[in-house]
Parts: sequence; C-alpha cells; structure tokens
Amino acid sequence: MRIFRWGYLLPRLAILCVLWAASEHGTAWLLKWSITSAGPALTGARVDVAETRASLLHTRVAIKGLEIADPDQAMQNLASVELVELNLDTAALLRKQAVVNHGIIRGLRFGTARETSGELPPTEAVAPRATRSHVARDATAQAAAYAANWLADVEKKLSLDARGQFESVRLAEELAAKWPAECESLSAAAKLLKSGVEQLTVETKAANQNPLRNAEFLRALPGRVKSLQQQTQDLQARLQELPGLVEADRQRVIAARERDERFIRDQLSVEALDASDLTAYLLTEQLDGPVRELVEWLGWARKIIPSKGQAPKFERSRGENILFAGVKRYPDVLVRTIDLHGVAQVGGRPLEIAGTLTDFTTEPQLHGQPLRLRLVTQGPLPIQVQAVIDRTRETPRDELLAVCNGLAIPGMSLGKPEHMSLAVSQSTAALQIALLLDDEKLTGNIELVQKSVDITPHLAQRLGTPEIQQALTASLGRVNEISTQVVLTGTLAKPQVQISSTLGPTMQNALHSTVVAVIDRQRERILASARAQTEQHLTAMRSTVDSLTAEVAPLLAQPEQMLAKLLGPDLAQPFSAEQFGRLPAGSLFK
Amino acid sequence: MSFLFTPLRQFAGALLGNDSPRQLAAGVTLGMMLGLVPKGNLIAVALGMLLFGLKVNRSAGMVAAVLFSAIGTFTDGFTHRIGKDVLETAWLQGAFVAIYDMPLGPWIGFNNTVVMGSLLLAIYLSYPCYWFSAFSFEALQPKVAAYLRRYRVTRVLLGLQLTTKWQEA
Repeated sequence: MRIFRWGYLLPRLAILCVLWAASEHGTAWLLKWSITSAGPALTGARVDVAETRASLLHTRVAIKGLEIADPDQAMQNLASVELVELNLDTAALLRKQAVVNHGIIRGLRFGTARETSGELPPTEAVAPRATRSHVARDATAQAAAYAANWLADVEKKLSLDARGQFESVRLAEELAAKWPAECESLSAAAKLLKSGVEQLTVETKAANQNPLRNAEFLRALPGRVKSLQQQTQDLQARLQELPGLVEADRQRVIAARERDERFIRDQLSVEALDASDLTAYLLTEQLDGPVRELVEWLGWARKIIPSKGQAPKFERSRGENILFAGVKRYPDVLVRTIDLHGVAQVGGRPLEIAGTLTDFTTEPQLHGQPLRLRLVTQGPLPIQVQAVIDRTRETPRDELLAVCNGLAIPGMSLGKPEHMSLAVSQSTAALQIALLLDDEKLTGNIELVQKSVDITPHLAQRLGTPEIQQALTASLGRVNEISTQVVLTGTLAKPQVQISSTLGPTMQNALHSTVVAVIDRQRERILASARAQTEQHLTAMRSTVDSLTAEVAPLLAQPEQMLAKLLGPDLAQPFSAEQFGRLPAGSLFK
Repeated sequence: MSFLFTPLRQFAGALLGNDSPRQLAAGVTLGMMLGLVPKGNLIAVALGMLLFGLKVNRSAGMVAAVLFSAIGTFTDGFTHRIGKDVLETAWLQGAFVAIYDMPLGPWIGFNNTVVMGSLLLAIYLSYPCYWFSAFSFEALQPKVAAYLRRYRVTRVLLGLQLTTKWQEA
C-alpha cells in the first residue's frame, strides 16, 4: 500500500516553493510594515522606509531610504539613512533569535529636510523627544536676572538727579524767601516808629509853647512816650533776637542736609556684583539651548532604549512559556556590530563621520553588555564621540563623552543690548563634554575653551559713560581666551546648571570698581550741588538779616534818644505855677 | 471554481462511501489534534502536513480541526495545567533542554504549557477518537449516503467530482 500520494504531494510542494518565493517579498513587506508602524511609538514622529529587501534563504536584510522624522520639527528629519544592510545569523534564526553579527549603515545624516510632514495624526501622537527642561529657570537664570537688574539699577543711579527731592534745599529756599519779608516788616515798623516819635516831638514842642491850651496833650504825653518807648524796646528786642532765629534756621537746614546726605548715600549705594552672576547674565541665553538639547538627547535615548521592565514584550496570549533550567537564554534581537558612515553638520559645515554601534539588543540584561556608540569625524575638524547606554543593571545608566578640538565658533553677542552686551568675534574652540545619567541622577561637565577672541563691549546709553566704556574696553582688550565650564546636576526632568567662565570675573573686576567710582562721584556731585544751593540761600539769608540790623538799629536808636528828651525835666513837672500864670517866687512882675 | 468546492465535494464523497471509514476516522483524528493544538508553532505545522500529506480524508480532518479549534479555547485552563506539570517534571528537563537547544527547537513551541498540554490531550484522545469515528462511519455511512443522494446539491457535487476525474483522465 502506498502511504504517500505523490500526485497529491508534488503539486503542493510546488505551491510551497511559490510560497517560499513569496515569503522573500512577504518578509520584506512585513519588515517595512514593522518599522513604519512600531517606529512612531518609539520616536514620537513618522518613520518612513523607501524600500526593504529580506532574504530568508540568505538571512540578509536591506533597508533603503529610512527617514526618522523630528518630533519637534515636522518638516525635518531627526536622522535619515540611505542604506542599512544587516547579515543575520542563520543558526540564531533557527533558534528564534534575530542576531546581526555585522551590519552597515551608509548615508547617515542628521537634520535633513523632509518632503512630507513627519507629524503624527493626533491619535497616534506621543510625547515629544523630551519634555522641555527648565534649565533657564534655575539658579543660573536667577543669577542672570540679578545681574541684569544690577545693570538696570546702575543705569538708573547714573541718571538719578535727586536735587529736587532734597529737603535741605527746599527748606533753605523757603527760609531765603521768608527772611526778606520778615526784615521788610521790621524795617517798616522801625521807620513807622521813628516817624511817630518825630511827630510826637514836633507836637510836644508846639504844645510847650502854649501849655495851658495843650494841657490835655501834655497830660497824655508821658503815656504816649512810654508807649513809643515800649514799641522801641520791642523792636529792639526783635532785632536782637534775629541772629538767634537765623542761627536756629541754619541749624534746621544743616539737619535737613544731613538727612539728605544719608538719603542720597542710600540711593546711590552699589550692591556687590558677583562674578558668577555676571557670567550667568552673559552666557545663560547662549548656553541654554545647546545644554537643553543635550539633555533632551539623553532623555530621548532613555525613551528609545527603556530600562528593565519597560521594553515592549510580545507574549503568547495562550499559556505560559516555560524556561527550562540549564537553557542559556539569549536576547531575541541582538546587533553585535554595525558600521556607521554618514555626514553630520557641525558648526554649520558638513563633516564625514564614521563609527561603530555595538551590542544593541532588546534584552540587554540577557546580553550583559551595554550598547556602545563610537563616532569619529574625518577631515579638518576631529571630533570623537562615545556613548555608552547601559541597561544591563537594575538601574539604567547613560554616558556620553565628546571631544572636539578646533571647533569653529561663529561671532556672537553675549548679554542683552538694552543693558550691556559683548560682541565676541569668531574663534576656534576646544570642547569637551562628559555627561552621565545614572538612573535619574544627572551629572555632567562641559568645558569650552575659545582662543583668539576679540571682545568689544556695548553699553546702553545711560550706562555707557566714557569712563565705564574705557575701563571695560581696556580690561576686555587684554582677554585673548575665554574658558567656560558648565556643570550639570539634578535629574533628567529637572536639570540644574551652573555656569562659570573667565569672562565673568574679568568683567566683574573692570565693571564693579569703575561703576562704584563713577557713582561715588555722581553722589558727591549731587551733594556738592545741594550744599552749594543751601549755602547760597543761607548766606543770602544772613546778609539780609545783617543789612536789616545795620539799617534798623540806627532807626531805633534815634527815637529812643528823642523819647528820652521828651521824658526830660519838663515832663517831670508838666504843669508848674509859671505855666499856669503865677510869678515865680521873688519875681517883681506878674 | 472546482478548487473552491473540493473540500465539500470530498466530504460529500467520503460520506457517500468514496473513502473507507478508517480513512475518515484517521482524518477526523488528525483534525482533532490539529484543532486542539494552538497554531503558530512547528507542532501545528507538522500536524497540518500529516493531515494533508497522509492518505486520510482531509475534509473530515478540516471539519474536525475547525470544530476542535473552537472547543480548544475552552480547554486552555485544563491543558495549561497538564502542560505545566509535564514541562516542570524534573526527570524530563534534560530531554526538554536538548530538544530546545536543537536548531528550530524554540520554533517547535513545546515549551508552551497550552501547546504541550493540548498536544498530550490530543494524543490521549486520538485512539478513542479514531475508534469512535471509525465505528460511527461504518454504522452511519450507508444511511447517510442514501439520505444525501436524494438531494440535488449532493448530485451536483458528485457531478463536479466526476467532471474533475474526467478532466484528469
């Protein structure tokens, strides 16, 4: 009996061969579908593939025209690759593992333009590359704000004219206006008194000619004389009090002047400016972007290659897969080595890059080796980049080292034009970056040494006194090299940045002492002006009083004598017998 | 068109006595095994190849496979326990490791509890299934054949078979 029906089997074997051939294309299609559908979940933007080729027979995969869109810029690619060729390990495939012993990535480029938008539809959109870090809102930003406020405060102080607010000046002006009126009043009173006394003298003389007829007048005369004497004495007393009153007013003005001086000293005092604050003011805006970009790349790497337990698993839905004791487990996907060739834009110019990516796997804890990326540029600008992404331990650890010598830094403006800015010329720099993200703890150090730099200070109009401008220009003219260090701490979600630079202390030395000296002089000038004004008013006041005294004293002395005469012996016996018509004793005639 | 109706035609032919009851029973048994075992592994592929490669009634097998696939989902809990007990048996570990470490070992899928449990259940049920099916077909085939011949659909299907045979000739 024939067990096998060959007539039945052979056509099916032929169909199987056709299916096998189709599977070559089917696998390629499946690969393309897997990349374009799973890629967006990882990158947060579209992932496009132009063409894929896969051969199960030769265990080889080729991907052409791979484009990973930038989640932050829809019309730009994060990275694009012309060709990816992967040679799969056949034995590993038979063990249900995709192991790439060697692969090549050609035509790797970053930041290329896209023809279509890389934005995902709203339903598929995932979080962007990383949440915007608050680098600019930490202590560095506060320090920069402090320095900006300091400069604004200095500008305000340099343009301050507080003379209108001086109490001493206002008081001296008031007194200077008051005393002439007072003196005028005294002078008028003295003159009136004198004329009164003169009038009384004349009337008295006339009355004495005919005493009987003017008996009433003569009887009232002593009272009137005494009244005038009293007025004279009052005026004299007021005249004598004048120096004392003037002195009291002068003391009030002096006291007010002391208060004014204290006020102006408070107003025109300059707080100490820390060099680190000035560094932050000058460099925070320039460094914030690149530092944030670096931190975002770390966050992106952390998201793309998640830590243990976060990797997507495609478990069988029915039952449980038993891991037999003694079976050595290998990762399902492992890329041992991939050679990278491409072009990167550094400092605005394209550079050829070459490198290797090793030990990429979906299950790093099984593999036991961290992912390593080494990139080296070829050409006039040597850059070395090494990244280690370690997911082999309980806590993820990412490390990035980059060294670049001869980096061309374009000319730039540091600081804010509305206060003070520095125009830094084009220069070459040595850059070293060392970043470590251990679990969530971020530590990093970025050093940038710029050589052959020319720095020109630009000051706001109010701040730009020739003295400050000259001091800064002279101080910065001696600077030929700027060394800047950025220290990163904190966490990935909340990085802390500390910036230090040789620029800050240089500026601080030149700026602070000059500004303090200029403001001191400004203060002394204002005070001297106020003093001069008050002294002028006080002198005028004193001279007014002196001239009044000189004028009024004689006016009062004359009536006094005249009144004394009026109060002479005639007034002692105002109505004698003779005056009433009786002959004096011993007189022969009546 | 003929290709599409082939399974129905063969099943009708089987019921009408074209295949022996033993061939029908073997087809049902293999179909039962294929239906119970989860797909996507080499065990299921091998069972499918046996069904299509051996001289058994594949129509009966396919009907049985569909039927037992539906039943199989309800037996997952039971087969999972069987499979887990077997796969965790200490003295079998060496053999399992050796099989797993062989090329294509992980593709076999035997390390899955439901696959192993359902395979063992299918093997356990295979002889009773074969015996019961053979007995049933021997007893029922003449009556069913007489019943089916009365229907035009059956005659059309048989006519298609004859046409096919004539074309092959």
